[in-house]
Amino acid sequence: MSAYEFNERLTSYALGELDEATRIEVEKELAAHPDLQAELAEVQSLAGMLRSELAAEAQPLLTPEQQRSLLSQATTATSSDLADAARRKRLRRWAIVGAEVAAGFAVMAGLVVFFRPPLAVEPEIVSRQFLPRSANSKGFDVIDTSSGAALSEPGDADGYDTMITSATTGSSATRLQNESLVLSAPEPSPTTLTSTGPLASDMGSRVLEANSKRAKEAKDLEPTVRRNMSLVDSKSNAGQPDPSFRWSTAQSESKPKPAPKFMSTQDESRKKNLTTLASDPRAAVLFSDAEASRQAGIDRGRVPSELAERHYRESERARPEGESNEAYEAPPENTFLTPSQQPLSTFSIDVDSASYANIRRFFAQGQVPPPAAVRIEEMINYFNYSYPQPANGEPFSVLADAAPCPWQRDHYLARIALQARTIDKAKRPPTNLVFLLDVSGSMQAANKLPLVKQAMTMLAEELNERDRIAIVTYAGDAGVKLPSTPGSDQTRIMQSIDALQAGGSTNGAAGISLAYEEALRHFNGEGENRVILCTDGDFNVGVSSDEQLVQLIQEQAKTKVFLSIFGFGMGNLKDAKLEKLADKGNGHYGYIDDLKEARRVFNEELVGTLYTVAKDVKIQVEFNPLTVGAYRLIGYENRALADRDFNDDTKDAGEIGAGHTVTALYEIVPRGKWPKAQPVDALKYGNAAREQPVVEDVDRRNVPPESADDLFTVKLRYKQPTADTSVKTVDYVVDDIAGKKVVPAPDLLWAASVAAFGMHLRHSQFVGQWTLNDIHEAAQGAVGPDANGRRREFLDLIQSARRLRPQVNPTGPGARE
Amino acid sequence: MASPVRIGTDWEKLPAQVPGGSTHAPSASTGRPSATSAQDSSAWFQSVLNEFEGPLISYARRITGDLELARDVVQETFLRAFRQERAELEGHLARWLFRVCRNRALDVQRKEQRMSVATDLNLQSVHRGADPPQLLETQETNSRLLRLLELLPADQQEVIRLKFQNDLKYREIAEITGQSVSNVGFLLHTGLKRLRESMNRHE
Repeated sequence: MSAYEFNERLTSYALGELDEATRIEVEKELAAHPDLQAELAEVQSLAGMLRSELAAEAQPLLTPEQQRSLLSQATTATSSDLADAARRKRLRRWAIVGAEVAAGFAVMAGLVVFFRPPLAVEPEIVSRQFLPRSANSKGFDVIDTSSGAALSEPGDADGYDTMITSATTGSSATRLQNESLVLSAPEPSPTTLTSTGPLASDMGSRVLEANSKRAKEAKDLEPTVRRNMSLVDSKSNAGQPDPSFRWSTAQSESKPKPAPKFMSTQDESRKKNLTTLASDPRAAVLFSDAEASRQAGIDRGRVPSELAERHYRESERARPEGESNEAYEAPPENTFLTPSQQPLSTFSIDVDSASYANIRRFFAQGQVPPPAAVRIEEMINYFNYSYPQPANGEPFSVLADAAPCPWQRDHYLARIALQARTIDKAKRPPTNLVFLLDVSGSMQAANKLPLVKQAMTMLAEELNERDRIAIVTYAGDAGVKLPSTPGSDQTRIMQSIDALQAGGSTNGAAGISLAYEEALRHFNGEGENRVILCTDGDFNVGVSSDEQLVQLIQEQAKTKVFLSIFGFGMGNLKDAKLEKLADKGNGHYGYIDDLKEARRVFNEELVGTLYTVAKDVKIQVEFNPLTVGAYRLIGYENRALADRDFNDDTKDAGEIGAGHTVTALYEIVPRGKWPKAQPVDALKYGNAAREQPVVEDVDRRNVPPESADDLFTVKLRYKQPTADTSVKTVDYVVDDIAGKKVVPAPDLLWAASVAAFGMHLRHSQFVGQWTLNDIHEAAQGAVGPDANGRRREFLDLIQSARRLRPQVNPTGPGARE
Repeated sequence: MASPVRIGTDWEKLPAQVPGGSTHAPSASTGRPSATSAQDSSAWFQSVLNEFEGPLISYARRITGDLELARDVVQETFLRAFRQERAELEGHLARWLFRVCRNRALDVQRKEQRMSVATDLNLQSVHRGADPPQLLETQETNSRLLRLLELLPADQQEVIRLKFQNDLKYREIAEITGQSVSNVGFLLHTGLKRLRESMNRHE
């Protein structure tokens, strides 16, 4: 046997695929050659890694509709199975008769195919027609349903055994980032997420129990299975059985890592399992090899506790149609920081509105949005506020204030707000637009491409002869469907929009380059140049990773063509990826859940959507340690910047469009109220007299006397839309409000309600004393004029959440309502 | 004050109840088939669905390259399964499902190929293991190992996944993919070897 052949056998040994005799041989070799053991260990370790990493892969599911339809068809099927079978037989007979009768011009095979009922095709037929025969396969046509045995024919078995010889446990503390919906379980729950001792042993014991059952099965199999053959490919001439050795030492069947424990619990659990199933004659079949190990494997891949698994199952079932492939990422929420640790708070602005629209979509379907999809800053910024317009020439105005925090006694709520200058629609600059559309098969749904077309129509209607519009598609065939056309040529534009159709798979990268090329070809120096990407998120790109796609977008962003990304529909929404791309592309990201939203984005707020008034807008806040004990930025978690990035013009930040507002909220704990006075237990093993935490001593000398009563100072930097260097605005200072009677402004109260609601949806630990009911009341009082009804819509969302309350924040303070 | 509970070396003798509810019989709670009445039929269907939905769709998706098609394929697979006599499936349910799913997926994929215009994906090599097709964008995986796995020829990838992700034995994989058991062993060994080499090379 060559070294390669032996190594292949070693691999099979490591995976427990060898029959008794071969295994014994291998073990002899291993004992004789210790260096082989290193080889074996490598294989086992790789196997373990593969198992755990593969187990962590997200697995999409059927849509709830598909499931429902399946189950209902299945249950009716069983009752009519016999009838079906009879009908099939009859049809087949007819087909044959018909063919004979029509001999000469009817092709028999064709008729058989024609008469075959659409659904209930037996696997036999399938396998005969479609089963590919690879060179080595002896082939098999029919699944032998009488015996559980596999159908390999004599000469096929090469010493492989059906026994599991090593129960694999693999790490069950699998990463769940991809399966973000499991986060709907309360986040800090270490007890349910890790594989505890008893559970691991249970899985192992089930596997081992299956093991012994299979051993019994194996003995019942045909002798061909147990024949001791070499491992060489059947093509080769080898086939002589190896000389068999007799071993005196009995080999134990399994050597999993926590070895002794497995052995001891195996008996107990096995007894337990057997007794519970004793009444069932099928028990032997139930726990057959493959099922048990697979159950263990699948359990490993999911959260390995019954409670969490059930929760996961329920949340899966509860998801709206086609959700299962969505991807959200959520950095943990910002926590309190102290000015002495962290005097500066730096972040990029964000005018994306996707998160709010997405949340609305979930509620519209009677579902609770996953915490990872909740970005509080996007929720707050979705609404219009009556902030003052900037002075002439300034791209935006800045407002900053502080008031008592409505949801936490003793705390303050500070607000920093920007209002971008508006542009009169009639006086807007010319626009050079390229629509980059995902027309892949998945875009066929009614709330995707058709909605995109409606949105595009709305926008196209607003264009005139100074504007240009082009349409580029990407979906298997990336192409220019409408070369850049003046906005006045409405007929041609509308016809192209109309002609758009979905179909095929997606290839994002090629489309992106084409779109930018088209935009650059007609670059308008005095106006706005923008690529608008509309997709449901399924970027099946030729580039193999996110990073490459991001790089591509970043490159293109240098061309001064801006990028907006709009997510449509659901099912493949790669929320996190789209947000990141928009960020890198100097653009923003919105989500269009329905026609109303399309109208909002492409009609009412068209100028905001299209025109950037300032880009790379950064905010840096410095807190005064004399007045501030601790502060917490609400939201903007994935907008955080390093402090030095504030002055670094090469570091990208968000852009603000005409008429947009940006609001950022800080929750502040005044000095004197921080740290929280929690008593600390006396030590058991140390000095019993423990120091209690004291309010920090701050060196007053560092603070200039005239600033001693400041709460914080806000600095901003931004760039003109086509500039490369930034401009710093004046600083804004907010005074301490300690001892003063301050009432929150209505807009602040509104923003606070939205933030509080977002915190509930995120299962934040900082929700404070406000319940959903309180939020609703406060919001109601702050609705204001609400010309477009969006604030009232938000009130409805709170009510929806209250109806679904148990799922919103099961362990949070709101749950005590 | 009650004496502290010691979690020590005799953990295996702890009572079966773990805080948070019994975690001992997840198989029972996911509806392991145990009787033959009609209600239990639907419980059985549900449990089969629960267990195999995810793995089958992932599997089908790798073959067809499209999630919606994969869903259709898996739906059909389940329908066929539910039309079988349950007794005939029990004992090799996984094998049966995967095999039917695979055949259907290949069928569908061939049709798609004929219909669609030039695609970037070299779907034909699913079987022949010629070039490594980028069947799917590896969903934002941080795993280097999985990315390396994507670079293997398709037939090696398939066998590796069936083995390590779906926990199937060589014999079952052979039946599902229509190859000999020895071929499966060969593919698996070769694939693992290449993975090891790639992993080591970049250390």
